[in-house]
Amino acid sequence: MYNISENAMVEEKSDRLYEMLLLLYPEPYRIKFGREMLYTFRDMRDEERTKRGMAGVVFWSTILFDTLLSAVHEHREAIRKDGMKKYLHRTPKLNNYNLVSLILLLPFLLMAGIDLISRILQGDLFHYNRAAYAAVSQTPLYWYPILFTWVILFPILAIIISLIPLAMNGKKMAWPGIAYLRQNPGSVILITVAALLLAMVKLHDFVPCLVHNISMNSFRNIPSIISLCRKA
Amino acid sequence: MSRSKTFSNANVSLTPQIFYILLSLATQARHGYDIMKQVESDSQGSVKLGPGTLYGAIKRMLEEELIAAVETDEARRKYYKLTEKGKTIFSSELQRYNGAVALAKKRNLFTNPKSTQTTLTHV
Repeated sequence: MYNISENAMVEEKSDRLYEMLLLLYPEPYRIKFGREMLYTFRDMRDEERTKRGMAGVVFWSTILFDTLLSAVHEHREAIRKDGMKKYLHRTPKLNNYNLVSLILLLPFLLMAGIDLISRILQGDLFHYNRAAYAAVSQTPLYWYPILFTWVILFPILAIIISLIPLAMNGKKMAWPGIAYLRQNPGSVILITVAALLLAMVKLHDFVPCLVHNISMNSFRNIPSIISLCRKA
Repeated sequence: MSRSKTFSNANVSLTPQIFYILLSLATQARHGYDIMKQVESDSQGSVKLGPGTLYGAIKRMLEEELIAAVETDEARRKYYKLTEKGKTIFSSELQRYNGAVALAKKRNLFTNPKSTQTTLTHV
């Protein structure tokens, strides 16, 4: 009896996980084939469990790889068929509020991308690229009022603007749950990105320093590492 | 060359995935998981489809009217079968393969895999 309920729980969890993966597909595709794909996934999982006792890492890696590749392909197909504007409105359900938020986040995303690429090019992810920083800091983007605008003000505005459709639709949907994500994936993604960017302002030196020191010293002296990285 | 042209034009080769899906549906209507298992069996494991790849291919084949959904009493499953167009394209593909095999035989291009393996081992 215990095993049966335990198996049912595992099955339910893996179903939920696969349903989450299905969110990666364009919505029209998901509506048409999502249910059948879930049934096919269940059959695959049951077969795997019969053969090997459990659906393990290899099984899930295969499913993840298959889902990512085919989802990218379906999005490309959707863009090719519908055109970018229609696709953005239909597929990630980006409404006009979301598009404004996205534009507000673009300068920060651009600079974060330049920072990441310059770190990769220097072969050290834990310290910023001094040459790239010196070059970028000469531009008007780093004049304090402008810097404050795109680093702090724009992400906060992006969050507020993305919250408008959520506030308007809030009464209709189940919260929290997959239904919420299904109805407003664009808004949720943009709010998350904006929040992460704001967190990056505060933690962009702290987190790499923390990861670096923990990787060098394992988990010993965590309090001293934290106090060291606070000054980073 | 776009994928849709590949499907529409009987003179152009099908991808291995599409070919094996058509092969699996040539004898009977099947549902998704059944197609997946049949493709793996027919291709001796060389073509393996996940749900994403399978339904991506099914979507394109439905759009190109190579296959059609079958109405069944089973609410949970959807079965697919070959359409006349699908049969024609599959048949012309088989004829192409047949012609290539005949030509290869005529030119004595077939080698015994076992003897090749032995030779390679000795080398």
